[in-house]
Amino acid sequence: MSCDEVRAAVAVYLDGELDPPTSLALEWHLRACDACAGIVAQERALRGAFADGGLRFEPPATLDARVRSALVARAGSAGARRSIPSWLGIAAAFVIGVAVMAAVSSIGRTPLGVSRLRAEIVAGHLRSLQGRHLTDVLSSNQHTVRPWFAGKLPFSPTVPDLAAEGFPLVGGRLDVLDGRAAAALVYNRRLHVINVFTRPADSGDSSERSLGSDAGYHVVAWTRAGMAFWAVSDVDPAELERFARFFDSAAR
Amino acid sequence: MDAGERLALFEAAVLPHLGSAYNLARWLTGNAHDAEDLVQDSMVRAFAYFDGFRGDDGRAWLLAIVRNSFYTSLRRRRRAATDALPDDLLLADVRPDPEVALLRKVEVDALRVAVERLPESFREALVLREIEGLSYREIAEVARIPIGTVMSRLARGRALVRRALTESAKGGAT
Repeated sequence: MSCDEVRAAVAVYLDGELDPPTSLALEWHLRACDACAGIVAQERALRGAFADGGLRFEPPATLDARVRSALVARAGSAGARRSIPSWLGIAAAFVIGVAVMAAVSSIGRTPLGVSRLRAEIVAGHLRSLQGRHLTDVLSSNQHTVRPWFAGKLPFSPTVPDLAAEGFPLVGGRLDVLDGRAAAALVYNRRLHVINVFTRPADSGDSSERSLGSDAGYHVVAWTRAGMAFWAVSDVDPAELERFARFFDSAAR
Repeated sequence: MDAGERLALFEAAVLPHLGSAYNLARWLTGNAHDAEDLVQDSMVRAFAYFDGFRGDDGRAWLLAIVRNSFYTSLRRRRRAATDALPDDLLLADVRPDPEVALLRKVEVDALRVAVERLPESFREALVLREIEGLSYREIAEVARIPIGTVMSRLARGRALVRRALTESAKGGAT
């Protein structure tokens, strides 16, 4: 490459947009040409000045809440549940969640009957969609979501990658079921949300069984290797059962 | 899909980019108050357009809406070239960096002023490239210009910034 060609390409090269063969030719030229190397150093210095930071403006803490209110108003959310303000820490929201669920279930640690359990799961699903965060950790990578729960829950939930089957992972969050801490894993099916609640099981292994539907939201439950799972969504029940089978076999 | 699910998906896919939206808005409007209004406006607009979002990069998609909203609906405050240091340097949205030595702080301030004084199209391209780290193609998508125009705006913007820094260094900085 000639010096003129190099100087024309320097900016593109430093922006990481130059094709590999030309980049290589440019680097070769720089080894032998001090003048061009000097120009590259100057350009690098300018980029370094930008990268040093201090140029990025951070939003005020109130903007997030303000935007969320505007969105909820626009969504016309008619949900009766009060939304938990985002400035509450995860831990605080978790504590409130436990208190609410304890009040609702009112039976302490006695397991709920099937219809009450289904109602609680559907309620938890709806709560996650309206006003409360859908995810505490937002990532489609199982290797990011699973470790996030460490230290926050006394168990490590399995988080299978089902993107190839058409159920991409959205993220995870802490939740409560039957007065006990649970992990909620969030998946998508096209534009539908699927929540999978999971926590240590009270009983032995059982394969996928439907718990029925409430208000169009279907629940499928199963137990595997000491962990209990409940998947809830408004997707077609057959679809949800397929999802549950994929989840179960991937997790084994 | 009902409104609640739509909102939940929007919160997962787009709302995390609030910081980038604010940063661009701040650089476009020149002050924190207008930036907040622009961000809120853009988020509501983005939510309305959400059905048209094809799921790849929420950030570039949102930044395009921020930019578009700025140019079409918000009152633009032009900073006169004769302004000294912008008063926003004293406002809370400038991230404090106590580890920056005093001399470097002067340089950072000079750089910020230099960028603020750029013509909008150069400033926008530089902010998207240097602060948001967008690729040429993403900048082209956000600003709705050909890639060649992205490259020339970056080149001219950088040249102006370099000249401003040289002059401010000669003048004994601020």
